Amino acid sequence: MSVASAPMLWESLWAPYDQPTYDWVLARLEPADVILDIGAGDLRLARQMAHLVRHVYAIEINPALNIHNRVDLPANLTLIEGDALRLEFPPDITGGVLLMRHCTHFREYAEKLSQAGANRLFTNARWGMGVECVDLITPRQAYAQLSLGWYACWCGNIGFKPGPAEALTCAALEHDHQVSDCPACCQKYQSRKILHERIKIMPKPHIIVIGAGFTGVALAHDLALRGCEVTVVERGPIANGTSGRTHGLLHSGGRYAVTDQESAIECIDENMILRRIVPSVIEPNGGLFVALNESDLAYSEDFIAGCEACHIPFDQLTPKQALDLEPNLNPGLLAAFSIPDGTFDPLRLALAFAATARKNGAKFKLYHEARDLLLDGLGNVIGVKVLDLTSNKEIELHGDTVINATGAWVGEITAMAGADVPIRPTPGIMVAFERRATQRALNRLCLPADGDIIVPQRRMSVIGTTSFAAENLDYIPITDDQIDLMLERAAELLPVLSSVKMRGIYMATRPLIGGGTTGRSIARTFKCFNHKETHNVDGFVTITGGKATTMRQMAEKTADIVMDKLGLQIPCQTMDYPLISYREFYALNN
Amino acid sequence: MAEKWNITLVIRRQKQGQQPYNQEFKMEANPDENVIDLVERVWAFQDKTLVYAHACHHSTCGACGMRVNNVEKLTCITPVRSVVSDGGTLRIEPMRNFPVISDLSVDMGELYRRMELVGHLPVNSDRQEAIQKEFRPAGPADPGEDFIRLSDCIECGLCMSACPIVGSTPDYLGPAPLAGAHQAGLSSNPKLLDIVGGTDGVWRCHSAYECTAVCPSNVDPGWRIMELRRMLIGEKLKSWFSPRKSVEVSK
Amino acid sequence: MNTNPNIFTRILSWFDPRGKTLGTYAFMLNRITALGLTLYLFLHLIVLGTLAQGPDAYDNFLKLIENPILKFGELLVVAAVFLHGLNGIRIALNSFGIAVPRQREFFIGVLVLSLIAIAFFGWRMYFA
Repeated sequence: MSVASAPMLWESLWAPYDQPTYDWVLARLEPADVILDIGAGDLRLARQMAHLVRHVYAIEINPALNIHNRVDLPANLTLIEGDALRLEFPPDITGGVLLMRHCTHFREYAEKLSQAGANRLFTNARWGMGVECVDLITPRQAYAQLSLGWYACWCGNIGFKPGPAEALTCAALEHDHQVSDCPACCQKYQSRKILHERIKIMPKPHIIVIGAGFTGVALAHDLALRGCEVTVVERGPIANGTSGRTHGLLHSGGRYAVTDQESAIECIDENMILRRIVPSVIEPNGGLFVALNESDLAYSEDFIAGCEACHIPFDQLTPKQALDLEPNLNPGLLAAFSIPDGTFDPLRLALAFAATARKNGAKFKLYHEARDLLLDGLGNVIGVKVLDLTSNKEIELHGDTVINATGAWVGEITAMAGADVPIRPTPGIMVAFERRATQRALNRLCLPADGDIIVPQRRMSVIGTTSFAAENLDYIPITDDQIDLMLERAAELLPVLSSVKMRGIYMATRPLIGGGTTGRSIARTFKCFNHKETHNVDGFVTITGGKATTMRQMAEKTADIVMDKLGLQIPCQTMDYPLISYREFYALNN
Repeated sequence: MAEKWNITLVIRRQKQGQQPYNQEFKMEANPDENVIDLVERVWAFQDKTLVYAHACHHSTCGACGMRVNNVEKLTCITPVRSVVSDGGTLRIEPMRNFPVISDLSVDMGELYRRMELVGHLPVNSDRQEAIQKEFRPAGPADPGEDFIRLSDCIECGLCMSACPIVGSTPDYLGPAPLAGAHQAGLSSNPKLLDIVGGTDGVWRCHSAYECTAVCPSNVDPGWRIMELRRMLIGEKLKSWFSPRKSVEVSK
Repeated sequence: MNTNPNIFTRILSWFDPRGKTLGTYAFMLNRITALGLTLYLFLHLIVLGTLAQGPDAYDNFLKLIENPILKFGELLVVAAVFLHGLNGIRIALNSFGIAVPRQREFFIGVLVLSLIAIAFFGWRMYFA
């Protein structure tokens, strides 16, 4: 069985087609062709094409599909791993292949191919057209000049243009007219052009974001794309607070499917988005929910119902199937479900957002501690006073809005404006073991409890976590009873871990929302507080709560509120904007 | 684990525009906790102007590399008892060979630029990561299926700090980028052959093997640099004996 | 990378063993023996030049090297030849991908073999 243990996940991103479809394309190739296969998947068509043409370039954004394939490629097949929308196309191509029924960027690909000198495109991306060969060279008729008939537009749309009765002939109806600038693309691309024009001419508001954890860097990215000037101030390096210390579980939402369905739906949606926009920081191997005793087993029904209600794809596995996938699992397991969990690198996920934000003009002031908020005469926030810890100098930054994205520490910042938020900082322990005993994230099939998640990360297995109250957020001491509890729980899921050394032990403080009791009963969704509404303090917004998996959405909702406050109608563009390499954050200079 | 040792930390401080100096901090330490916990406590309870880099606290981010008693360490996985004894002194300094931003934090820009240049893959198949015979693959003993995981190199820079040639020759690519080139594979980029075999590439290494000694992450840059040499020699011989065929670089 | 602008400081940094492992000792020894052998080569050529000046000049030189200090110098040359040569073989083999995981043991072997050679030739030079 391949690594895609959650088959429904991958199918939604790449779908193989049947051999007759492939044969149709293969029959129309020439030996002198140099073909670019966009979205080549597991290279099943690319390999067949390589037998028939001079050279094949195969672009595929998802590295998981080719972990076996990369080593034994034919000499005239080049695998390019990356995003076809961003990469430059090779200059020697003569034709393109785009077999992707769910493609939403047909026009971009067609234009790029045409600019790269390709003369034709084999595609099934235009609705209702089946597999067709689109001529990229012959100029298309403008829609306006077509008198009547079915048209297939350059933008990927098709339609029927009604016209004068005398033009209604069999011949006219038989033919599919290749056109450009149909009504649909005018609308779609006009609105995109309008958006970019609006962003260019609007007065750029200056937004100050306090905190460079996941929320802060995602906000910088979102706001930069919306045309704002952004300055992020952070008292340490990127993600040095709670964000850096997450065990790195890319939630499928299964954990919250029963108790917190709002949270679960956010998770599965964002899980899919993050896999698309930043695959280079993710181990995409899926996850298992494991029942070890009768009480776990009794939870299955609720779990299944919850996953279905939240559109979380899952598969039920027998104990034998689960042990085949993960031989180190406790052999006494009673049931297992596979879901599209994953693992991400905490720092590099944050760096990828920060790098893209920086590339688009956001400024980062690391090692700058927010000492006070600058207020106008009416108590509204107009900026931040920060201490540059690298030089011990204080500077004042003025902005149109200040966003408090300090996670568990939001109370410290809101106090500077005389405001507060219902935040309950909740620390918990994580233990990283010296061995990678599981390839997939493992969850206990039960209500959220202590130590019920083990995540693989590089050559380690990381277990977490606990839940308790704490006073001083800057340092949470590690206690032996917490370590012992984690060791006990780890051995329940993966007995081999009881003989594996511990590599790292640390505490992380989650920002939980709600003023009620501590710990697990508090909702894990996020909340954005517009302090004009809460405390009549304008120019100041706080975002807290949430979890790493939903960072992009937290930023989207907060940025929507900020844009609204500023009276700017600029929508969010981050859901399908692939992030640049995380390394660019350090490589680009401020 | 309830032991309490008395430790003196001597931390190298440096603010912009000022001369560096050493500052002493006395504290109690549990011998089984890690050095980063001590640094964090200094910051939280004794001096909030201490500037230091850290993020994950479990050796996956590579941010907390420092020199501890003059040896490069990843401080989040360095137990106190492995570097000092009760009543002893711990000298903590930033890594060598990187520009110091302040105190213990250094500018990693050049390392990240070079890793990007050679095209090191941040995620990779486990079988292709764990190719050094001495290191078992990260998965269970029976290889079975392969899987994708974050690659071994966490770009911590400890090898760059420990390498004597990086210390004396600024243009030398260094152990991490060269190991990264080996991981990406010479066939991944036609320019890589020249980058790795050129003046700033593998031939500048002089086998101090400090990089392998300090790497916390099973990368073994010293071995990879020698492997690159072997591959480069192979390519050279091939190009001499079959000059008409274009050079096909093998992995 | 950030290196000291002063070239002498940079070169001296090679010879600071504090906090370093065995590999650095091999690295340092290779450099020192290389410098030593280069110096010796020049001296050797100068000395050979005396041959051209006739038998007396050369005989005078031979009397000079009976000096125990210079004899010790010659023993150092022997040491340098073995250390540099055997370590050179170690490095060359490594560069072909041979024995890299065992480089520490290899270097200890180099040291042991060199010590044996130095002892043997020292005995011959001083006592035989």
